[in-house]
Amino acid sequence: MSTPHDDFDVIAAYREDTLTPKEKAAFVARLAKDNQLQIQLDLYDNLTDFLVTEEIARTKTLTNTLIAQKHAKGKKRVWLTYLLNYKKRVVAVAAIILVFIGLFWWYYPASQRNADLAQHYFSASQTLSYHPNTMSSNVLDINEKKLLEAHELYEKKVYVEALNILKNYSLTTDAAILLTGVCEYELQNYSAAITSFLSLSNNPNSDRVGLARWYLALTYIATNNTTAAIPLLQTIIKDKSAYYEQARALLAKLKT
Amino acid sequence: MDTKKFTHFFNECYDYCIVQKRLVQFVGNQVDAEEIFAEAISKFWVKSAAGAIKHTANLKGLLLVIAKRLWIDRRRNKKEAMQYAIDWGEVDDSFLKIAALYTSTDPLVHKEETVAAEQWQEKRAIAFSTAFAQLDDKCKRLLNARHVYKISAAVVAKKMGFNSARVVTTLTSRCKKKLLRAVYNLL
Repeated sequence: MSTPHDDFDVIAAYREDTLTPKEKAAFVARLAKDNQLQIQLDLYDNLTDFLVTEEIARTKTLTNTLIAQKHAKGKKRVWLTYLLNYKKRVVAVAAIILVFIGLFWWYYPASQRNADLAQHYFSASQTLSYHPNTMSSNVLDINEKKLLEAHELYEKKVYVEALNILKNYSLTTDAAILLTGVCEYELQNYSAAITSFLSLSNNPNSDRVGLARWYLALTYIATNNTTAAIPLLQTIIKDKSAYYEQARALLAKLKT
Repeated sequence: MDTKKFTHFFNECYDYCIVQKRLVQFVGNQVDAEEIFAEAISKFWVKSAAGAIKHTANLKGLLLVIAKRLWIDRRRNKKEAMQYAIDWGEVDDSFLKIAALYTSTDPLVHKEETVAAEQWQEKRAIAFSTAFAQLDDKCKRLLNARHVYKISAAVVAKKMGFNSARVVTTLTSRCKKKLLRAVYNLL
């Protein structure tokens, strides 16, 4: 193919302002007459615009290909896409949650959890507010499970078996001692019951003192020892501990 | 163009605008939304890489706004074109002669000029595309880097493994003339 004459070198020099004044004047004079030179200058001036348009078109083709790929893959769920695109954020949130869980377990050690559990367990000994099956087996250690078993048996009025469990596993917590006493009381083994209740009621650090005093008073009444029962009931009323109302009623009855 | 970077950016923006229906709801249907999205992201990518758009935060939000504006512009242009368009083929010459009595420019001449200008623009664009496609890869990359993305000659030299910035400048100048000559020959 034959190449026609072109003036792009001169045009470049003209635009870069490297022509001498004489050459420049000649170029301008020629430009006014020469149609082909005008076309060449127009091409030279619009080159960047052409290149930008071409690059945009190329990018658009690439975009359309990517869109077609998306269509081919099928629509993903929004949340899955979010997870994939925002992996860092998801990992960061998960890490923060894990740190909080770790701090919680660190500040709230196992012994404290068990203590809280026991307190919850015997907050009112006559009503068991939860059942072992409803709780996670990991939370409770074996003694606590046995204690719950014993309490279940107590509620079913199977006192002897409840006592067997309590004695076989040598359960020595305040809750276990209280339950032992209550079972002995129900079986009318008053001396054994009194021993259990006394050990609790004489221990000021125990949080079962109020309950132990109430049951001790009941045991004394059952053994016709009202003189020992009355001060206990008065203490319950004074301390406003568990069975306060019942204690008042019982004391009034005893006094009459 | 860094295709990997672009694909990552595309994925983020596509989810934001199309999957999460932000642009689809605005435009009204998925097909048009994807078309306008492709146009917006292409323009945005090229122009922002060239430094024409100074914005670094929430790029996908900015892209969504650009796509919406493009859509509004397109609708407006379409409406105006429908209102004022003249199909020269359907206009009888006798009407144009009558109209010439009331206008300073000859409608017949104006008609020919308009058509010729449109044809020239189209021919020029085709010639340019053809000539650019015929260029070798090195020239294409150099011209894009220097003229589209406005990367300095020193950086281009480092990226493309040339000895110096002067070499890049000389090669770019040669490629530019090569391209212009090819376009000129095609016209």
